[in-house]
Amino acid sequence: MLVIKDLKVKVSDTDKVILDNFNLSINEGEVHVIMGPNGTGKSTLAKTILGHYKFEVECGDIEFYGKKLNSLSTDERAKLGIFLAMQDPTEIEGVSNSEFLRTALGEVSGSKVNLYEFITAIEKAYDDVSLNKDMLHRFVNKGFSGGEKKKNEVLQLKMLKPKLIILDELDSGLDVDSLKIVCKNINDYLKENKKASVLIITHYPRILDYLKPDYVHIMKNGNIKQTGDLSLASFVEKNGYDGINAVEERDLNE
Amino acid sequence: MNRITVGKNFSEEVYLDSKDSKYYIEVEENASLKVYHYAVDKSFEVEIHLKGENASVEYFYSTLNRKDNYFRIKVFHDVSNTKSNLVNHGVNILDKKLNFVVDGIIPKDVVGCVCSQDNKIMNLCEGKSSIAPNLLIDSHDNIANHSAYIGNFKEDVLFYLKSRGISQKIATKMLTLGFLVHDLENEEEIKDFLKYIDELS
Ligand SMILES: Nc1ncnc2c1ncn2[C@@H]1O[C@H](COP(=O)(O)OP(=O)(O)OP(=O)(O)O)[C@@H](O)[C@H]1O
Ligand SMILES: [Mg+2]
Repeated sequence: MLVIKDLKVKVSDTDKVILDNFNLSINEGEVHVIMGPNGTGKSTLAKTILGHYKFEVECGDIEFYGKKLNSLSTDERAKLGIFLAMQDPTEIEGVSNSEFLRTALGEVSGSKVNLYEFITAIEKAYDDVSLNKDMLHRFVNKGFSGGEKKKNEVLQLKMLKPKLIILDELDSGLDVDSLKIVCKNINDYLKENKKASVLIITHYPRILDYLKPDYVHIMKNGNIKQTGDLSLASFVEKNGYDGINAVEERDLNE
Repeated sequence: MNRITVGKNFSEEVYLDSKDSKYYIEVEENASLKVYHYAVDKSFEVEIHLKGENASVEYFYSTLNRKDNYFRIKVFHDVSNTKSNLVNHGVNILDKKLNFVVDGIIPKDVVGCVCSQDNKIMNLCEGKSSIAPNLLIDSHDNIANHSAYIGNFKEDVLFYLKSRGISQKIATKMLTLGFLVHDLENEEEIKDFLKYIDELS
């Protein structure tokens, strides 16, 4: 569903290159993980997939179901079914959660949202992620705790029903119980939507106890250096990213 | 000129219809007034006097602007222990001028007042806007503060909305609504204004 080919991305209006020669393919129903040191370009990748204004694609392609995303606006990409749960969700003064979600749902589905169905669905979603329903009437993310913001992202994805879910450090800011809850929600979603795929960006293998990955990629200096299975995540946990070159050597020796 | 007086001990809430371009407002002892002033493409001069102790005014000015316009408001804290809170928000749609001149005046020997202003203008295009906040305060023992912002809706905020499938146009409408409309409970009073926001493109 997602194919990224030889992607080079720089910070807009500068010469600073962040992703270079980046390649990644994700098929329907797969769970991928990207791990990598701070500042290596993981969030940049996630934002670039959604056409963030701060980043510019110098060359290479991003394709989603065969459609080139490069020239599409952010909302057009979202309408195709890509959802990014952000590392640091933005606070939006003056716009309530309910108005926001109802509008988003109308835009993504391309039809008018039935108010009764909307309220029923959203109240259930609040219960599912164990957030207080009063938050519906609060401004988007405004004054939410770190964990509440993350749960609010998962709530949105449950409502918007994307095909590709990108989770940028969903686990940071969530306590153990909350992490279990949101992962259960995502797993349930994947059970109901067998073709949906997930790209998890994380520093900690703990989230992988709940969301079972098919592939683990290690990213360093702007591209993927190594791909493996869950054991690669454990290896990094034990040896750090400095050990990644050693992994390559180890593989060579095998 | 339109005159509004709030008598001693009264508490009122008014919606200005914007038919006049000048308003003169007096608030007497222990009285309070809340003003919602919604305007489209017009200039105004407003003078407010807080005439008795414990008089207070809250003034919400919200404007959608396409031409060259100004909003000039002066609040006189004529006596001690009076309170004013001005929230002036404008959305400047095209490349014309929108100017706010906002004066808070506390004369000598008047103390215990709170005088605050929040002035913001969003320029959606290359609009030329200015905000002149003036706090003319001749004595200590008063609390005065102001904030002023001229710019556009934040890119991060727009990105967040768009990342959920909301188009630039609808995102701008939502943000304009949130920025300008403080009292959706009284939708009937401002239905014309809401229509203008809805027609934004
Ligand atoms: N607007 C910007 N201007 C300049 N440099 C930027 C900008 N945005 C990001 N960068 C830089 O790009 C690099 C990659 O940042 P990114 O946020 O993608 O890292 P990350 O892999 O997600 O790190 P972390 O694990 O800490 O979240 C960093 O060095 C960062 O400082
Ligand atoms: Mg990051």
